[in-house]
Amino acid sequence: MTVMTRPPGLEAIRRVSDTLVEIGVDARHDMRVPARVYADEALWEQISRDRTLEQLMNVATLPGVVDAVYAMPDAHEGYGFPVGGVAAFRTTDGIISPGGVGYDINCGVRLLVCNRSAAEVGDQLEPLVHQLSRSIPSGTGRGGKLEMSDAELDRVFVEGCRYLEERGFATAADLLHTESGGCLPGADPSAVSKRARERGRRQLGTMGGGNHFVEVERVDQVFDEPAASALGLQEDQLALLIHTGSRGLGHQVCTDYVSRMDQAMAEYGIVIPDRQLACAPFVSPPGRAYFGAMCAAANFAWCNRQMITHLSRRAFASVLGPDVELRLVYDVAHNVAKVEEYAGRQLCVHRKGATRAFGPSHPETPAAYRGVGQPVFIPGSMGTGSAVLVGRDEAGELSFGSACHGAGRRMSRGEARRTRDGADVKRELVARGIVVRCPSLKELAEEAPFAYKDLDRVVDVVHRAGLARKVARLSAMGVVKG
Amino acid sequence: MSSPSLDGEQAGHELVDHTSEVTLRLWAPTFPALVAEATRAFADLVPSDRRSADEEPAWRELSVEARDRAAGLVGWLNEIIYLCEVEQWLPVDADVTESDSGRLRVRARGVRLEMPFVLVKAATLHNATVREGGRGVEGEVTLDV
Repeated sequence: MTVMTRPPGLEAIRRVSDTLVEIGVDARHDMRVPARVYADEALWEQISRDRTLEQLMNVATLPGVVDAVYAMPDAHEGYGFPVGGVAAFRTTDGIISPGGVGYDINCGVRLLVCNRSAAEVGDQLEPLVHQLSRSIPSGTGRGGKLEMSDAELDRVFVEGCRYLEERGFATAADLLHTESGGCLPGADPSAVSKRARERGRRQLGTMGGGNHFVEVERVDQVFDEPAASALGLQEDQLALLIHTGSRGLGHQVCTDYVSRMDQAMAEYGIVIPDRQLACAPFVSPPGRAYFGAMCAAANFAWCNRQMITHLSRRAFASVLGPDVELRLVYDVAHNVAKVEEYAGRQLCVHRKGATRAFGPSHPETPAAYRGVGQPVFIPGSMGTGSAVLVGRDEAGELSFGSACHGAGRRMSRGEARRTRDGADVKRELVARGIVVRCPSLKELAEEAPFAYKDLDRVVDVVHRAGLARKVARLSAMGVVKG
Repeated sequence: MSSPSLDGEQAGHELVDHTSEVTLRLWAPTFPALVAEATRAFADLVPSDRRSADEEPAWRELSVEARDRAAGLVGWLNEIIYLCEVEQWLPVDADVTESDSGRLRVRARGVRLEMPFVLVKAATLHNATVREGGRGVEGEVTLDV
């Protein structure tokens, strides 16, 4: 056992390896499984500063939880589940929890690569970023260009990106390179409330605020040439990274079902340490209804990122010429609950701020990436670059096939604003040659690099722990903030 | 920040931020006054230039069903979030009646917004509390922003 930093009262903590810490089941009387944290000593010190560990241990108390609950290296305090948390529950007698998915259902990231090099863009960068910001409604509340009827929303809920393919907003290749083909089976439109529909009706093709963004990237460094080649990445290539989710529709689905489950739990004899962990048995009427509504919202989110892809392709073509192409490398969710099989058990895997990271031999890894692994994207803080990895088969046993989803906040938004003025942050980005479009300087300060953990350290832990393998690093050329 | 409550005693609120979210801390002489203070606190989050200058404030009758006071407070804030996003209507003050523990009837005075306010996703039940304390009735709600 290694001597290590321990929060007071937590004697049952031991460092298993230089990338993994385990909190044993005897740490608290109500824990059913251990809690495992992927972190080196520096990240552990940051993670143990706030209530991340307490929240992770809370998750370990939920009925039907199996094996262990996990915190990824970018984990930080959230509400209910920690952000960067992974937990799996038996579908037979375990629970499903809206708080284990979060409000932004199927928030996720997609990477597209361009048939142009970054060097070729030259002085077209500023017009390109400007055109993207004009084309994609962002966090100021501007609605999308599509207003959807209930019948159209139902098709989005049930068919996901297949519906957009039929409408000419997606290609067959896009669907092949989207997690679950851009459509989770099991969506139930009748489980989505009128309020959720109203919030989402004008939001398809919109980015939203907070940490959402569209970034023009350059492939800066390739670590694994064969894997990069399989993904179609080469150094100095122009790329586009899109980060957003299900917008108000997903927020309302979560609100509706946290409230419903909060009221229903007594009926099932479930006692929880934090009301935001409100849950119900997966097979119960509220559990099934939430799963149906969550799948619908997840499909809406994939359609949202697909619509932004469509708008981005038009923006690229209008600035760089009609022969420019943006090919989807992959789209991956990081806030979702999915039914997956592990060691012959059907489990409902909750990933809240964690990315699925299936390995080269997993049947759900797209055919083009078999032998390599499912692409995993870890965006860094605004303007500092992002990482491309591929999942490893070992991750199935290590983390229910999961890796982290970002650099992870280390500072609150208020503290970030107090630390540095938004105008200063913008000046620094511009001085580095990065073109920035953001509706608010305040939000620019909140999302500044110093407010986040060190991306390279987080990625290094993911790589060394065997959750995913480093392939390439991207650097930001242009940022359109939500 | 403090403001006079309906019965003239002091009510107030403050925002406490942590790693990823914001906690709204409230106090007031009574629970209905606390809910009214939550209304004013949320209105403070919306930039004044978002509010329509063309229309007079209007009143609406609204209600919230919940199983206890903490859920009632969270439910009312989620009602405001929905109204701001979909109906572009921001409640700025409220007369509140508690018909049963957590069940609220709210007569809210509000203003039109020039565009939807979407920066707060939801009010959560995470550590949501309403209790008697040194400043009267005290409440805490974490907002997902």
